[in-house]
Amino acid sequence: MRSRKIVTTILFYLLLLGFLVMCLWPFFIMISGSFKTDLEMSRAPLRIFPREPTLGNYETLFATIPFLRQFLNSLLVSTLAAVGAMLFNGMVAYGFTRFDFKGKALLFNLVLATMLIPAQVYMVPQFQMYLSMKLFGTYVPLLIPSYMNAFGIFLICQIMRQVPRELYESATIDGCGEMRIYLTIALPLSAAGIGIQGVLTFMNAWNDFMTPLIYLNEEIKYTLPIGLMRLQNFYKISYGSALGGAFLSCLPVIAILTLVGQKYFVSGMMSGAVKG
Amino acid sequence: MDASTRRRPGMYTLRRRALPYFFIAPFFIIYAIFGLYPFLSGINLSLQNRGVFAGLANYTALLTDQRFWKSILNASLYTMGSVFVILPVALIAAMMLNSKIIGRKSGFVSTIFFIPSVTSVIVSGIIFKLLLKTNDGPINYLLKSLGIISENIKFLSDPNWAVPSLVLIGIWRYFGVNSLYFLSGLQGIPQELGEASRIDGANGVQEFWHVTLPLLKPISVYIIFTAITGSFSLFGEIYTLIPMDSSGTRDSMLFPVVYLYRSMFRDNRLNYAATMGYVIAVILFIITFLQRRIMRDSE
Repeated sequence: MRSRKIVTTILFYLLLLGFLVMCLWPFFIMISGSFKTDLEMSRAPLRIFPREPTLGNYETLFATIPFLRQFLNSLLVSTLAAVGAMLFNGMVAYGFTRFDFKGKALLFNLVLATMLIPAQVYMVPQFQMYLSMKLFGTYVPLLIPSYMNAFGIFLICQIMRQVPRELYESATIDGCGEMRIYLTIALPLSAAGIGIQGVLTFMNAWNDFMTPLIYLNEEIKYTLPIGLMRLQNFYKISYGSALGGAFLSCLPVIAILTLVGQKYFVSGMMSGAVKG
Repeated sequence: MDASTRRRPGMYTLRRRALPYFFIAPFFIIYAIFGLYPFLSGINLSLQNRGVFAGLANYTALLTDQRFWKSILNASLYTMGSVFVILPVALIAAMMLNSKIIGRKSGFVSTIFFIPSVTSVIVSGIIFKLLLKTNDGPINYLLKSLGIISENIKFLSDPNWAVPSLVLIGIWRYFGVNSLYFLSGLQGIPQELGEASRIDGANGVQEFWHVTLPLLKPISVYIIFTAITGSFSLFGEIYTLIPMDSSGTRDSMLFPVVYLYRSMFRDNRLNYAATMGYVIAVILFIITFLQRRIMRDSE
């Protein structure tokens, strides 16, 4: 019985090791590849520690695309998306959880119904609309989807529902205006849920590829994914610089992930998804 | 004096009544302009051809378009891959994270599992374009030096390997997030249930099949739904893996959104592309409807 247990444990850890290697190996290839010369990359593709490490790829990267500028663009877009999403979706969620009003159930179902329409439907007509609004080439089309995120509203509602109603009532008796109650009671007490919504929005905006590909037309305005795509297409020969750019571009999200912790993440994403 | 005292409570209740609508207004205003309006104007677009009313001509053209059905077939194959390969891998990972053997290390390990899911498509595209290279690609090199293959596999240019290669990338990129979904489902299963079934003489496999799996159903419905919509929205991976104007050897990497995007921006067929959006939506509706139906019936 005991030896069987030991065998199971060993098999378990072997499998676990397999999973970890599968997860991390592509990252190691990316990082080591960014310090390899092209010659070494094709001669010894599996070597993790380059024999002649070089910074040449990074020099090429910074010389070829305005990397820093595009990094800052990505930062700006993702921050604006996250802040707006927390503000707007939080407000709407507050409206639905704090008050009882005529048509509440219907309106809430309308919000949820918008989730059923897949993004493909909007692609062409939205493009036309943004063109005629002269918003093509701006960041507006990149931000709007986060501001009308029905799933986000739904999740924040689930969190806000846990705020005891008595708190609102005593604040009303103390003469607080609703906006103040929202800002000083509802928001701080559901900060965890709203915050995770903000982080998720930030990451989605940081990684978004299709919307900036459609709407941004100048290198100086590109967000990182588009900048990297162009780099990759132009410099097929020096693949190391694309790897270097990819490595630098995923550092912020990995940093956020390790800081915030996946547990918090999943609880944010899952609070409500299952119960429905 | 009299009039003002009467008006003040009136104004007050009016404001109180309007207040909820003020708070929920942002969603409805933004959606009306940037969601509902394009949704409706798109229907109009799909019924026209270069500004002239064309009835259902675009729809009939699309429904007889072989390339469109090829893209739907590819997306369906990828869906099969995600449901029968990616998700089982994720479930195994979730059960490991939930097991007693791993104990406290579970949090640390699941963070590592989650990392690939937070990278952008362009990052995974750049990495896998290198990993899957036919000559000197690390994966081919590895398989060859282990003696598993003798000829290099043309992962990205052999039409038979196109969808499997995408599924391979999908395993890497999506098993983590899905295993966390499964994990949250597993954690909701009371320990006593497993113990009870073991007392009744069930072995591990039986316990998994008759206790764990049925209880994971609510979360599975959601996970599979996400997998289906994800398969039909595949775009960035393909855009980075193969040359910009290509759709793979014999359209093996032509996916619905790729086709839509190309029709719109390369072929300038705006009306056709708009039509495609609605048809893809309807196909997705049908598939998810069937999925829910099947999963309900199997109860």
